[in-house]
Amino acid sequence: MTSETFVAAANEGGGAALDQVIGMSAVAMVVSIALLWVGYLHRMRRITWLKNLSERVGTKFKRPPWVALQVFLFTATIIAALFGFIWDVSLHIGNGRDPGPLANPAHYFILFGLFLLFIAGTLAMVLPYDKPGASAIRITRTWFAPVGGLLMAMCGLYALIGFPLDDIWHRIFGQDVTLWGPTHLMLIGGAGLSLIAVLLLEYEGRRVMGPDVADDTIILKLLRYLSFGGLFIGLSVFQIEYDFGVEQFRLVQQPMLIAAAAAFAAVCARLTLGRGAAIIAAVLAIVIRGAVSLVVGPTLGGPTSWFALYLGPALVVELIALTPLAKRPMLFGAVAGLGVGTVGLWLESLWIDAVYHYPWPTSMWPEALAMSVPVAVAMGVCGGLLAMVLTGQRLPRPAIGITAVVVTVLIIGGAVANGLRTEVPENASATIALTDLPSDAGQRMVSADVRISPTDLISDDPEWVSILSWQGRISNHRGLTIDKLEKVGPGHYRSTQPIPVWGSWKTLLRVQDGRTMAGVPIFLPADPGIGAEETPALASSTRPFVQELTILQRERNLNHPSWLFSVAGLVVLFCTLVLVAVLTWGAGRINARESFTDAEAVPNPGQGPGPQQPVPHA
Amino acid sequence: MTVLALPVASLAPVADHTLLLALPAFAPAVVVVGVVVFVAMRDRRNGADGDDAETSDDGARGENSAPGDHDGSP
Repeated sequence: MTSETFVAAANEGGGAALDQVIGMSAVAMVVSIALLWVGYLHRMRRITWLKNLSERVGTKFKRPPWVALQVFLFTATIIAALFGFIWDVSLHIGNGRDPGPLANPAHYFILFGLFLLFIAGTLAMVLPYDKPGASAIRITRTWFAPVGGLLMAMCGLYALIGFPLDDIWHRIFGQDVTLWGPTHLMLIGGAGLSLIAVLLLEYEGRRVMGPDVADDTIILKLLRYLSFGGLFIGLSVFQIEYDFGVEQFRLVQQPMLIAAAAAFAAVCARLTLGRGAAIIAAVLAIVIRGAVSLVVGPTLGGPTSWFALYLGPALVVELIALTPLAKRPMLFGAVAGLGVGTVGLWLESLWIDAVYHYPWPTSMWPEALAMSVPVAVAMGVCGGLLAMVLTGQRLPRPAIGITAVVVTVLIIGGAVANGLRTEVPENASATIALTDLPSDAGQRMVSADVRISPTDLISDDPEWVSILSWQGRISNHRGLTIDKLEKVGPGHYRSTQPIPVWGSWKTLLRVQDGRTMAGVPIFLPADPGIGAEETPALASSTRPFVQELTILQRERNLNHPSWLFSVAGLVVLFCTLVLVAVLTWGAGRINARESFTDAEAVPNPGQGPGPQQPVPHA
Repeated sequence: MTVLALPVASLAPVADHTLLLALPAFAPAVVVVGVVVFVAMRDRRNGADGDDAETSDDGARGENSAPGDHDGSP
């Protein structure tokens, strides 16, 4: 029902805001009433179609009705959200900010996806008439909900809360034109972390089915590998700026983000599904993420995006799992994390160097390792803990598990904070000479000669010295060009491709060298919407280096008390920590209601000759 | 890059409506959560009076249901 109304509303895209308000409110009301009404009728047993439908799907996929239907809904929803997300990013890179909230078609996929995520979780809670497994949560005396369903709904809610918060954020601080705005992180983080919820829900369902269910058909196996492929993708959503080559943060964050996602997903996949699972899951992630990139880039004409392969880290995890370490999940997670954060990252860097705009320079590695190794070890331990839950092995004392999660959050926080440290050089400037190149009518393409003062400002091995032009509209070179400058002498650089300085293009010189991160505007169009004047592309200009944020995020309103920004950040941080805590609690609860009699008698599933079923629980 | 940035507060034509636009995006979710929490709380409150007090709450979203409507599962 939601899709139809959303699509109907889409035809008004870009229309008057009042129309959009009325349309959205009507949709919201219809959706609310329909959800409550269907839920009410189902719980009252006045309708049977929902029960019949879910049971049919459940029988076919050998899962309880409250799992099978959800997994399908979830898959649809998360792929819609992923596609909408990548498409949205590409549109914003190519076109700049939206003229109106519903003007961008990608938003519908995101809204639809996130909302359906919430619905999928709620449905898992509403569906079961009987108590769904030992760990089910009592809602009333006769209504019990599976933990995974509750977690899924919480992830959806967390992401949806991001919408109004995002709006309030923009009102106070202006639009933060970056993926890493705190409220943006809520929107994508909720969807990303929901993969953990679906893994837990699936496990609860499998446990209810008992040990004798024959569920090793190819399709079912593939679905289980797919959910771990989803885990890789879900944890990769924070890297998207890097994937497009328009990162507004230091490059050193990228290996850390990759190591974090790889260690958690690969360790968990390998320990849960056995030999080869980490690699198979990584391959499936490549297929899905690659397909989305193909549709968004070549098909829809947006800027090209790449993605981490994770094959190197997965291979490292597989090799370490050949040792007896695999019998001890937490230790294995730590060691495998270490491998991922070192050798795994080196293998991944071969791919990054080959296709990404900004390869990882040698000078970056010490800091990259200092950030990545602790994060990967901690995430590996957490991946091992989740694998213990998903295979029905007894977790260590709650204090240990909770400590592991808390320490992981702190380590990641510390690493990110370090990555955010940047310095703008004082008394440094760039003299940029532009030479007009032959251009189509109405356009202006130039080549640039850049002399940086002082000449020793940039070391021999910087992360980047480049000219970025973006938001020039999708129809013009996909709205994005990135030119890594050629060094011709000390502090002297030259462009290697035509640079657009006309229309809505925003063009700037970017420098990142260690902690130094700064930019010099070359051409910025007048923007009456935010009261910004044009920065003209002069034949020769000398302009000082400034904080890139003031150029890349011109929309940001910096006229607010600084405490307000801190408070706003803390609110978002609080919501995020609550979500992490709830996921941790849910996993712990599922494990605590395990009867370990048979679990401890069966050898570790990770040691089997092939993918084995985790120890079931009657 | 602007990502997922639904409302654009900086553009005059929509500035006054942005919050209105954002709320419908998550209002249904909040309503559903509210109803579920309400039902759960009511059941616990009633539970204090004894188990036979009122058992209509397996109806999730319903009140005043007839006894025959119950799940029957304890």
